[in-house]
Amino acid sequence: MQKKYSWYSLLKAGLSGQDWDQAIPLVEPKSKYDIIIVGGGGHGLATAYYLAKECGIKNVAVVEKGYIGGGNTGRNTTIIRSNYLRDEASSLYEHAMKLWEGISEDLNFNVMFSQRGVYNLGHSLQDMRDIERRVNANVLNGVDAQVVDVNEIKQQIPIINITKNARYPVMGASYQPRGGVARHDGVAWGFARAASMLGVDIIQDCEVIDIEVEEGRVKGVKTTRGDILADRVGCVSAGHSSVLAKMAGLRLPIESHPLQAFVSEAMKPVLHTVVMSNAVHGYISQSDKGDLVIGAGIDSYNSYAQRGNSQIIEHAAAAILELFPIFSRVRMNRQWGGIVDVCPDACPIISPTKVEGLYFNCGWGTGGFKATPGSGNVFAHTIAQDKQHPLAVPFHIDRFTTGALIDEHGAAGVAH
Amino acid sequence: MFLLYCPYCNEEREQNEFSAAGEAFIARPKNPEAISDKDWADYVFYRTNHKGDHWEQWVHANGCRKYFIVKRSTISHEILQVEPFGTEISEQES
Amino acid sequence: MRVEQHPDNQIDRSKLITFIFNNKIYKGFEGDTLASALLANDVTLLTRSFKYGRKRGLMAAGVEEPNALISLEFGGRYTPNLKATEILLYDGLCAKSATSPNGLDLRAFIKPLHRFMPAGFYYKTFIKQKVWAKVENSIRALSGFSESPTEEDVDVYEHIHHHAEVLIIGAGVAGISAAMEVLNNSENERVILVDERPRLGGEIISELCSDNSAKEWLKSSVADLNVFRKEHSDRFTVLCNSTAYAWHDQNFVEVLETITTAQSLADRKIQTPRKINHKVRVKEVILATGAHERPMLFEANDLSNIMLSQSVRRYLNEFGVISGNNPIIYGNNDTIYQTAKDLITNDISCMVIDVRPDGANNPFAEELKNSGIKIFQGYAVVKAHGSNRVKSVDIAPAIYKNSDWEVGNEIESLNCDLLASSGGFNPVVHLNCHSGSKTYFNEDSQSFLTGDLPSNRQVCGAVDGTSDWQDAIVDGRNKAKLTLQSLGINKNPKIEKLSENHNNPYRVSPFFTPTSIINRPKVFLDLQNDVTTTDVAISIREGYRSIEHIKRYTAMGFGTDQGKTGNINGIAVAAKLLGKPMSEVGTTTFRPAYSGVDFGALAGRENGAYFDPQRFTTIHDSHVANGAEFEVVGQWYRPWYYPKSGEDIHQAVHRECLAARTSLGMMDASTLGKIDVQGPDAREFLSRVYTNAWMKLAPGSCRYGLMCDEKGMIADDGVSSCINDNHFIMTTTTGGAASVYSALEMWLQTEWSDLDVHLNSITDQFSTVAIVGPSARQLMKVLCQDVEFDREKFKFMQWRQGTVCGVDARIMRISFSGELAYEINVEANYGRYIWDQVQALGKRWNITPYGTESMHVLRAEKGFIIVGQDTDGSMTPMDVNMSWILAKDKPFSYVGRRSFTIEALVKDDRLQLVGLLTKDAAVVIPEGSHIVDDKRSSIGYVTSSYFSPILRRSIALAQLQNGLNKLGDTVIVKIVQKRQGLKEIPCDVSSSVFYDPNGEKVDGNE
Repeated sequence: MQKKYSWYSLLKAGLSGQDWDQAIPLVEPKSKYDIIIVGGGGHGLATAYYLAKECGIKNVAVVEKGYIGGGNTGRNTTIIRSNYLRDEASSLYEHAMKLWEGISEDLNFNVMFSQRGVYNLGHSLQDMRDIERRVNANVLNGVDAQVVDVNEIKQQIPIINITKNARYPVMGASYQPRGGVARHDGVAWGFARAASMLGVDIIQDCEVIDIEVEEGRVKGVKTTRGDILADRVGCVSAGHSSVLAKMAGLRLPIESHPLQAFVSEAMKPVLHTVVMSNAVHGYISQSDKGDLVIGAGIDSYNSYAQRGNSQIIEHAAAAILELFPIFSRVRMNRQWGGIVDVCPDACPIISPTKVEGLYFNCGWGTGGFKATPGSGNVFAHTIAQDKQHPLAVPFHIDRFTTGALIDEHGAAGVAH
Repeated sequence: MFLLYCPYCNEEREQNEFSAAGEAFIARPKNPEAISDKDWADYVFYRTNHKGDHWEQWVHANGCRKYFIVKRSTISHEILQVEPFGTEISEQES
Repeated sequence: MRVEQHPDNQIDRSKLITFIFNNKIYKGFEGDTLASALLANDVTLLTRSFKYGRKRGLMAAGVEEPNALISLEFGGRYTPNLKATEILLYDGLCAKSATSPNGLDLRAFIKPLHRFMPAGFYYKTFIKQKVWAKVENSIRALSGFSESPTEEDVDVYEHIHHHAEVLIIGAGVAGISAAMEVLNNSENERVILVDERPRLGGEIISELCSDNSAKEWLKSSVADLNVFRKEHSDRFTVLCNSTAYAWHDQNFVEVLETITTAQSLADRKIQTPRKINHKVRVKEVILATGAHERPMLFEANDLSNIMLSQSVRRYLNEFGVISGNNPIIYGNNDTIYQTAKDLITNDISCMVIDVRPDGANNPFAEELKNSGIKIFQGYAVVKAHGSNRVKSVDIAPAIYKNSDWEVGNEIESLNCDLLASSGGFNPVVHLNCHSGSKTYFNEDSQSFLTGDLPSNRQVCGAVDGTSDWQDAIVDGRNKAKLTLQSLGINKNPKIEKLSENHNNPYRVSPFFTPTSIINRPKVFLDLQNDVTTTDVAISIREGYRSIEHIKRYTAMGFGTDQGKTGNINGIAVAAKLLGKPMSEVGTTTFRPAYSGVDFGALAGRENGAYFDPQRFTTIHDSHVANGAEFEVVGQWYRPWYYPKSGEDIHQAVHRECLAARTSLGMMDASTLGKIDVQGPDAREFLSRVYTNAWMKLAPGSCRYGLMCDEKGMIADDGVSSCINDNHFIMTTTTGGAASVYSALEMWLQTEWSDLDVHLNSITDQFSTVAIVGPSARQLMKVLCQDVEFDREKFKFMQWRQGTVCGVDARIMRISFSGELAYEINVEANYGRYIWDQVQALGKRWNITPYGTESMHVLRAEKGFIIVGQDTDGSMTPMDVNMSWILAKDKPFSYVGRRSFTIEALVKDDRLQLVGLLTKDAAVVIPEGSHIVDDKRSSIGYVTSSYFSPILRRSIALAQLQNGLNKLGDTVIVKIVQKRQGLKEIPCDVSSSVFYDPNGEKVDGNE
């Protein structure tokens, strides 16, 4: 059986009828674990991986109600960048970025992290002021970032429309060269496989239906596949965070909204970088398969339905045509929706709760994918030590009571 | 992409005419200065975010501009009940 | 090649059409698709596959076609990735393969390596980030089908909204029958019938040549529909070439109609939309979308001229085309015999291979045997041979026992040049699933059918598993009756009985997925993405067992055909390998779009200038005539500055600012939001939403107000005027007008319904001309005679009603520059007139129009904030040194007040607004630069920065940690971007008021 991925194992497998080992073994839940992670998305799997790898805790289960990576991990537009405005946010996302840069090797699984650069376009004088402010903050924080003018943008992205004919002409952009995209499913699978190899149980088709709390302390979870005890439980179930919180008698400062995206039919490569525009509200990249991957906005109403209003898709298409009029006769192949947790300050919660042993990692809004390894890493340490990882400290849930919001919202011009 | 019935216009109209205006029954504390920071935060930020039948506020933004309350399934988007603002509802969620 | 003409072919052989494919000229007929015309010309290699670059030809005749991807036309009409089967032929059509089947292809060249490139290959290779970064682009270069367009689209697209009672999707037999039933049994109900094909009839068109009763039925039904359409055009709409591509909540269906389908380019009018996106909202939907045939599985099943059996029939009967002389028909159901019969009718001899070991019990087989056709029953095709095009097949005996297929070892080889296969039918349930409905696996018909239906929808015909056309007629009628019942019209529907075997009229056998076939190489499931049975096996072996994982790991069904022919076979293979029933494996999620939708058609007209409404003041034309450059603020176009010839922005702003400071400036302030606040409780209302006091503001007076949100953060500001005790006019920022207005409505309606206050947005109803400068009073006296302008009579922060150049006006004496200033508010239509009068009469004082840039400089000189520029949603009034505006003794806890005392808002390291004076007065700090401490950490940043003409030095506003306690300190602004010149700029922290700190200028020069 071929376990480790290498050219040698590929050759051997090719000659022996592809006799690969199971990347994600089928396991039955045990009755008790040290730690249960609820939610088998990228963040949850990464948490389990780092618990096993860096915190020495291997008696860990990830319980997933469907299939791993089936939530927002597999539904997002896979943009990765760390050029956030506020120090707290940029430190966290830059931590993730550094992990991304070694993640394929670390996991022995190519997640196809492609540092093809990310442009955040500005369309007004205030956009450009915000861009300058953010880029300067990034540089001071050691995050690679630069301001580029329209001519440089045109040079790098010849197909973009920078004429004044656009309703909101492009005035400039911030550019992060280390930003890019990754293969979303691969991220979930890579973490799952690596965690499994370290002894973590990945249990799919296992829905948590209750969280057991006794005298203010978590005892375990009730699932569709039986009760599982644990000393500590970490909830990483974007979209459904409030539902899990309710099981433990908690409320969260979170609302769930549909977020939509779509892809075109596959074309030969024509767009070699990632372009985001908050002002006209569309973001786009072209995948290695050749399809244009386009992110749209969120619907304003609460929903758990993984579908939204078609006007949102239409607006995103119109926004893309503002930037790339040549795509008018390109066809949308498939559209879909996810459910995102939206936090009032557009920053996540990585935090213990008033229930002892129960931790939440949620509220990533529309931008969680890019943080996957960083989020899992700091959450693992937070659970393992029952003390927030230093980078997670600003993301305590109490900030909504103390008022210490991080507020990436206020910093307009930052698209997700 | 659902239809909403405006209890003031007495017409069923496209959802695009309306704006979602958050969870219903979040009342501003009568005397904010008298409550704790925690309770204030609960009013400003914390939400039930119910999965299932959910009471929420909508405003007929591109119509009569009136606010009203709607019980809607956040799972199927089915509209279950529509009432003018201020209607007493006994089965409020907590 | 074409077969002999038959009157029921749908092409017109008298109308010859010339077209170009891959640089060669061909002929076809009117009514052809590009696909049928190419087959007629014996062009059978059309493209290459995605992963292995294998040469491929047509497999199907409709939207389900996986292979034949084509690029159509050039320039502004170039369209990528169309299926040859969906392009109607027109004169002069010019197309080429998305990926040329000719020449060398790297993917095909590395054929010996394909065995080392299984599903998941890239997850296992190039694991080092540096290596991946190097090779990714080369791998990328091999991907994709057509090239991207390079020019802007010459065509336009429309959206049309429909409201009707009944939408019928699919105008095959079931759909037509349902439409007739609804139309004939209702009086006012509006009905819309849509179909993706150019003609009504769907699959029954293939029966017309052989079945006279089918022909008669279709002829009379279509005639009836046409009569109805003519006589009741108000209640019956038929849309052909129209694909329902998405079904949303509450029966909202999107239908994409192609208008220019068969028109030659010369006949197309530029303003005729190329496509119309119909937005259909109906009470009831009847789904009659039919079924797609699925192929049989065997090795090398992707060779060209291996086609679907029903597609072969369609090409033959609809277009008079066949792509071989020596066909073999292979399948697991009775439809293959009809295909054979049609071929014989056209004098084409063929063989039939039926995997079902029926022996002599199959009447269809017996009938054919009698006419001398060779029939193999209980045999399976295990492998096809041929270089690119099929030349022969290997067959072997097959037996179904113990719920499994077994294939014998005795191989026989049969020559052929066309293989038509049928592995059963996949009902087109896609749309039904878009809006949340589930499917279940029906063992009888070996297909996924719609499960429990939500109310207000019906499913009929082949999509409901009722495939026989005569049953489908009845089924359509039945479902129409239920629809009428749901509409409250037919109270007591009489449901007619269907024939006994309506669920499986063709006796489809269980999926032919024996291990000996699955284990073979090159048994393709998804031909577009080159997904084989062994890929599915590897996926499962590696633990990707959920059908969604299998799909994602192998890319099965991700192509432009969305797996319409391949997915269900893939599920059957997975079921076999997992040892689970089909129902337990389930389908992947069906998502919109059912077939591709052009971005242009999604956007419709909301494109370019129409992307977002453009708002102009009534004075706009004058600004244009004055040569203004514009700044976009919200949706508004505001004059930014008015350059005179040769001036750059700095020179223009310099001139404009000095005019306002020394003589007279004028500005169009019409874009500021204006909200009319009326009612006995108007004062109380303002007291609640603003931080300061409003109870004692006298009629005739104005007051500046600051508005916070409940978080205690500055949300907006502006001046409100007391018209009388029950009436105020509030102004807001230009960009904040809409959000402030809705926030105010929300407070009134949802929290303070006890207040008797009414709001109205009056931004568009008034034009505002500001006259600014020391000579403003002199000019006002010229403009208006019925108001006293003496400084004691008309004080700062007061307003007067008067007549300006004969127009009723409210004149506000307020100032955003620190100079004596008046704002003349008139009914919007007089705006341009007043502006012109002011400009003409102000000439004496060299009155100078100025734009937003000068406005920014003038206000910054006075330290006035701009919400959104100097604040960013995280600044409190205390942070901007405006504690003075927080009323201490208001009984009501105004919006935001409670938050002022929470922990983080009273900390002493908050960012606070201060002034910065560079040590070198000539240096203007770039906006957005950061102030750093000695560790190079940011302790604040510059929000506004200008060269002040009146002060002859640079000034800046900045947010600085604990800044209000650092007045007089020296701080360092660090420039960190190369393009701005890396440097440190030492600055003194100052008051944010730079000019006229005691406010002496506000009364003007006399």
